[in-house]
Amino acid sequence: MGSRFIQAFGNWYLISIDLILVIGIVYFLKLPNDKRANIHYWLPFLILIFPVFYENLGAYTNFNFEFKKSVNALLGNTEHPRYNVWVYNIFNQQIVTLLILFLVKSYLPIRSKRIVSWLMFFFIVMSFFIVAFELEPIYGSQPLIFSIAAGAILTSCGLYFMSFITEDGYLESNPLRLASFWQVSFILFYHSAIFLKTISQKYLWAELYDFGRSLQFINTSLWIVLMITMLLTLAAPSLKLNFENEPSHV
Amino acid sequence: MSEESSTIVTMIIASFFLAALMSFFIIAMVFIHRQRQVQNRQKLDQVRIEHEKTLLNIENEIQQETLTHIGRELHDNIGQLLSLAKLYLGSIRPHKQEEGMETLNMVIQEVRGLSKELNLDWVEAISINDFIVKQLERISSTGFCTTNFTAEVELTDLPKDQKLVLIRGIQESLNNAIKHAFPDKIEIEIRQSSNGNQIIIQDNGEGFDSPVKFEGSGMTNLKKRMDTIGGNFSLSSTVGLGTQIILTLPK
Repeated sequence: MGSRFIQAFGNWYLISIDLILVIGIVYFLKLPNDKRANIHYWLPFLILIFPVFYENLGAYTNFNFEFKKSVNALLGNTEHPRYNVWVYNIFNQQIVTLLILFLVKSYLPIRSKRIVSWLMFFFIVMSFFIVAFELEPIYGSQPLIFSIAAGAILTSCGLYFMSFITEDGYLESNPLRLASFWQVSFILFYHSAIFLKTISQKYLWAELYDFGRSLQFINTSLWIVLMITMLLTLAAPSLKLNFENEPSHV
Repeated sequence: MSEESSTIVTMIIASFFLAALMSFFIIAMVFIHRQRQVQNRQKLDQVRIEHEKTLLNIENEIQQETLTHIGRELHDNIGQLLSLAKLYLGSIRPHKQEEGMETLNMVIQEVRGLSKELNLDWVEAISINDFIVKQLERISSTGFCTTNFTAEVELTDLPKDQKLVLIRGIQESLNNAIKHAFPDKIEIEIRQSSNGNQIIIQDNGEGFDSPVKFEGSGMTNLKKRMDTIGGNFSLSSTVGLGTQIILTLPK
């Protein structure tokens, strides 16, 4: 059991994000009540919690095959009981995407907020129909839903940078001291990289295996950097990092 | 090269490439942002210089107006009083000499009053309401037309730039009314509105076709000046019915 447990839970990525979450919880609990109730603190905290939760759930499904098999059966997949991609589909592709969209939306001026709200609505409706009509089953690969999610996130990041270089509210800010600037930059980098990786995945694994593995490694590293950015947002008041307040339109 | 080391080399190269791309993006964003900040600062400086220039012009115009007024006072009032004093003092009758001394005292009072108007310190000391009262008194004392002033609010503690613009605006409006409209009555009202305090200057003179005559008159200048202090200017006039000017102060 020990070696199977270590095999399932003992990889560097899982240990890193578990550690980040533990530190994140400590710093979140150290925040004053008003900051804990602030969307710019509790949303990054949720973005820390969910990936750790689903990655560990994924690892657990590999550790406990019976559990994985029963959930697969519940989702209608009796053919491939070893699949656990449903964990990623439900928690990353749906919930974390929505959390990230909410976070980026919270930094936007009103007219851009409306666009992101529509994108979220479109994403939810499309995901529902795609899954309901079994165009992409929940237990299988979902490239279409992934494309819509990544497209929505990249568009909202674009809206952020548009407002960043056009809104007067940012004129007095130093971008290097804005938490939103770093958060949205890494969200953009991660989702651009994962978008590229996903669309070229089949080709890379078949033809350019080294490059495919490199991209996989870079994506994982970028996700950890993104998690660290969220962690630093929570830790900033305790570590006395002088992040600037977001502009007044936020 | 082994398969493992080849993977590592590819990983390092790809990571460096991506890191360079990300750094370039961040540097570009910061650069664009800094450029915008510089442009904005230049624009603000330009607006500030423009504002200062406008205020300087207004001060000059007010001083010019004051000098004209002082010249007129020296000629029409003080000159007359001094001639009268000279006549009285030249008389051998003691009561005439006494009247001469009284006249000289009046001249001294008048000169003191005028000397106070020579610099612009009076602008800071006077309220807009008092200024309007004085201007209207001056007009009605000439017998040119009757005047009336009502105020819902006392305009005190206004910043100097606002005061200068308003004083010049009121002077200009009254001068225009006297020079061009030949009214029987000029009324000024200060009232509170949802847009801010308003000064309404109204005459029942000849009036004009406002869209035609507005362009090119001193009123365009006045409108620009009200804009510089964040206020508003509006003019309406009807031929034969008179003119109304509304100066709205910033909130």
